[in-house]
Amino acid sequence: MKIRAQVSMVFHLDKCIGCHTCSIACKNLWTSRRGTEYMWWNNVETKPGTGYPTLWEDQGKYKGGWKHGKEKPGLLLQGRAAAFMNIFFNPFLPSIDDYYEPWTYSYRDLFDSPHGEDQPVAMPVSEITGKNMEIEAGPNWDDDLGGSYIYAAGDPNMKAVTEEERRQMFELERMIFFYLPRICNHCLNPGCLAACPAGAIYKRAEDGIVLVGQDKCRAWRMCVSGCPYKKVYYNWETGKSEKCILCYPRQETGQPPACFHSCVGRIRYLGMLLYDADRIEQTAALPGSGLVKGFREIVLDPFDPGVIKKAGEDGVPEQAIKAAQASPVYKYLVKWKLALPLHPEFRTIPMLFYVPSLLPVTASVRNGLYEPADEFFGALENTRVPAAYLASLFTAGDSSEIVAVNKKLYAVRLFKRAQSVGDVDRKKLDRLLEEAQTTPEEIEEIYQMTSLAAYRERFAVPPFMREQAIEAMEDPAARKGDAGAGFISKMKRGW
Amino acid sequence: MADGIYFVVFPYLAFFFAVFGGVYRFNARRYTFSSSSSQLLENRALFWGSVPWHYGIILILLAHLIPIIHAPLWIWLHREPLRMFFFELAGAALGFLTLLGIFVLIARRIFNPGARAVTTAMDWVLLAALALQVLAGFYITFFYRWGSAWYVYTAVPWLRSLVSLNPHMEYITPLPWVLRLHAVNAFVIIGLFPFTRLVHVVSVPFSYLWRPYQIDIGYKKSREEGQPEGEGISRRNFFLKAVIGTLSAVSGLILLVPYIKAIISPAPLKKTEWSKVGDISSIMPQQPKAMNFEMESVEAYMHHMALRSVWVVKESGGELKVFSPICPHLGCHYRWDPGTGHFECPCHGSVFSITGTVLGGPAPRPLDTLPFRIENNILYVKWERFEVGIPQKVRI
Ligand code: SF4
Ligand code: SF4
Ligand code: FES
Repeated sequence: MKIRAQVSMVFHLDKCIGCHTCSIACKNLWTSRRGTEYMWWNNVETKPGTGYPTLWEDQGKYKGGWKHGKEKPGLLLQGRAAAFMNIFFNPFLPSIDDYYEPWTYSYRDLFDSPHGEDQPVAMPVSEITGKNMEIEAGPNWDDDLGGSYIYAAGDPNMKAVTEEERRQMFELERMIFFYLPRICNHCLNPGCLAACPAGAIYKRAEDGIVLVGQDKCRAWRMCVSGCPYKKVYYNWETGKSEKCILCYPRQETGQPPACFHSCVGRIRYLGMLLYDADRIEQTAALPGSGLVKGFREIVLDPFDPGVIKKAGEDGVPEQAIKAAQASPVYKYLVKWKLALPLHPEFRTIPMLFYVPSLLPVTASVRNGLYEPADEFFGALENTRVPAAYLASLFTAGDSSEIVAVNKKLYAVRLFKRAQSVGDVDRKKLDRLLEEAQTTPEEIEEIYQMTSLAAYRERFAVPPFMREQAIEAMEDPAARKGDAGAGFISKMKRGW
Repeated sequence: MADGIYFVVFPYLAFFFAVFGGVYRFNARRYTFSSSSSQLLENRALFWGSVPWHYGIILILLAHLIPIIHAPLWIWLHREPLRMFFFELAGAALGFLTLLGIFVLIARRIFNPGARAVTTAMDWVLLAALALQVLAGFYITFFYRWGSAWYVYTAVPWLRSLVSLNPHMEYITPLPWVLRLHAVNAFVIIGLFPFTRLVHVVSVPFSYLWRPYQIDIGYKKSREEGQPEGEGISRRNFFLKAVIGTLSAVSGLILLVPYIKAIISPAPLKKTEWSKVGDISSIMPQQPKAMNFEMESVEAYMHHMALRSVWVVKESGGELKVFSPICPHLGCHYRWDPGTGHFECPCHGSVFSITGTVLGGPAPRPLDTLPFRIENNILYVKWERFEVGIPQKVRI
């Protein structure tokens, strides 16, 4: 056993309102430079949908993540020797069109145009070439188009649902969608890192944040392909790959990442987890149905005296252990078993977990009044977004996990309704609690963390242990505009 | 004078720029070390450009490098006509590949707006230099045949003389202008190395073959050990590296000794001895005969039995002459044409009389005679080799 600490995250999808505040916070902070315009380290996509970059989940196309087989661990992308064959041309690299060509408008024309008959217009101008362009796609082009035949129907997860379910999903009056905010998962077994020929990417030992060493990156672009979540982006201007840094300069001053801080729906939680680094390989090799459970098991109980002792021996500082004990992520993931990993079958062991949305399928509007469905047990298995769809997203196809989470979420909801409105049948409620394997105490705790938790409860930012951080710097924002985070000197593309 | 600048001063200067510029850029501006790929912006043409270009140029560079490192091996490889033919063909094919590659690479940077947007001034300079180099190389392949054979006797000794700090440009100066251009432009490219994206060629990520998949870097141990701790770079790996390192160092040393000797004196190490050629009683006057014989040759650290041949000429007076079969121009094997009664070289058309004097063509000096003696009608010769392409007869 080798214990390490990892900053990890939970996004509660039921609470996301799709406002994109998070994306903008991130963009303004980190990716407003030339070469990064097209990058959205944080993006919010509509599900069902094809996402950003288009069809990122389709590993037949992009070859991200790990192979699953009996042999030694290997990337889906290529073997080690093959990396040298493909280094001149990466056959699985998304092109700018798979994201979108960034543009601005020629606003100057509005002011500078000579006097004339026509109203001057601001034409779209490519931020890459500086030429006028036709806009064909943009960030969140498919926003809210959850029922569309182009975007929703193209969603790779739709393969998991039956024809009948599919038909129902596209019925106008049943149509449903939800938002999926995505950032880098700061995985335990990152595909990006494993794919980097130059060895430029690394995991910070003190908090597990995955970073691209900018001085070591040589633009081999394998990380872009190796990450199944497409969360490493190639900066075409500087010739370096960049990715979400989980706002480590903010964390080092005690603040949560900007996207967490600014989240309007307060859907985001951040906290430390202690895990057993010796079990990474074994966990990543689990069969599909065992992955979610395996992910929970690799995380260790921060209250267990044995774990605390061993963690200390392995060099995890006391403050980090304390942070792990206060972690809301530990509660959602291990204690309540409500949070699930996104596409665990990519086997990178992502450290961002999602509480799937309990879509309002079990309620209806009768006589203008919002009514919960009478027969909620049946309804839970027959939700408007089929469990198979969510299972394809969050549990490697295991619908029973989804149903279990849904039951608990529903139990919380009905329990609180019984308390505040009082129109829930006591017997039914007891049965639901039993089926959801929960107790009134646990429900109160979940309710508290989900609905009422204050800033410091949601974000248990581990105290920054300055003596442990390589990246400690004088002013992380000194070169923000031209180089990015943490550069002391001006950085420019080479000759 | 000008030649001295092109073929001695400039190569050293370019090398100096490459090394010091490269080291400086790596230390002072490491962030700019990148292959600066534009694949994200232009994906289709890149395949047809980058892949043939890189595969072609790497193999071609190797073919240029091996004879410099170990000429005897290369000479030995070219001893069989069939193998020589293979090299000629492979060279032409690879040349075509690189030509196609660089053409596509340039075209996409001109015509694709995305690729053009990320093309710097130095990129154009580099592309121009590379295109010129490939074009010249391609031209040489077709108009100066058997380049892989005579390269060893022209550019190689020149380059080796540069390496051994004892520059002899006379190997290269008499060559046609395309070859001289090819040689000088090679050093232009070397000089451009630190000022362009070419720096990526020294970033071949070999360690990817053995490094662990995952890398964790913490600062914890750095205070005790003086450098960041790489937990992923485990002891096992260090051990592996140490073993590989030691092995290559030892084998390198073993190989190095003959190399150094060869550099100091590129001639075969073993002193030439009398080799038995054969019975000459049947040779008719005025009818040159090619006689084959075997001799043991020792070149650097390779011992092997080599098949040699010499031209034996009995003059009308009964006097004997033995010619080395190597054309003094650029080292092809000439032949006897009984029709004209001349020796003729097929490569560049030098013509020699039966006494070895030059009658025409680019050959700079008469055919080289070899020392011989005769015992009981059996001919013995002392096999010797001479520099080609120069007017003086200089033993190698
Ligand atoms: S999500 Fe992608 S970029 Fe982030 S650590 Fe995992 S593999 Fe790397
Ligand atoms: S800021 Fe919060 S609520 Fe808004 S889109 Fe982002 S994650 Fe959702
Ligand atoms: S090698 Fe050129 S003429 Fe003989």
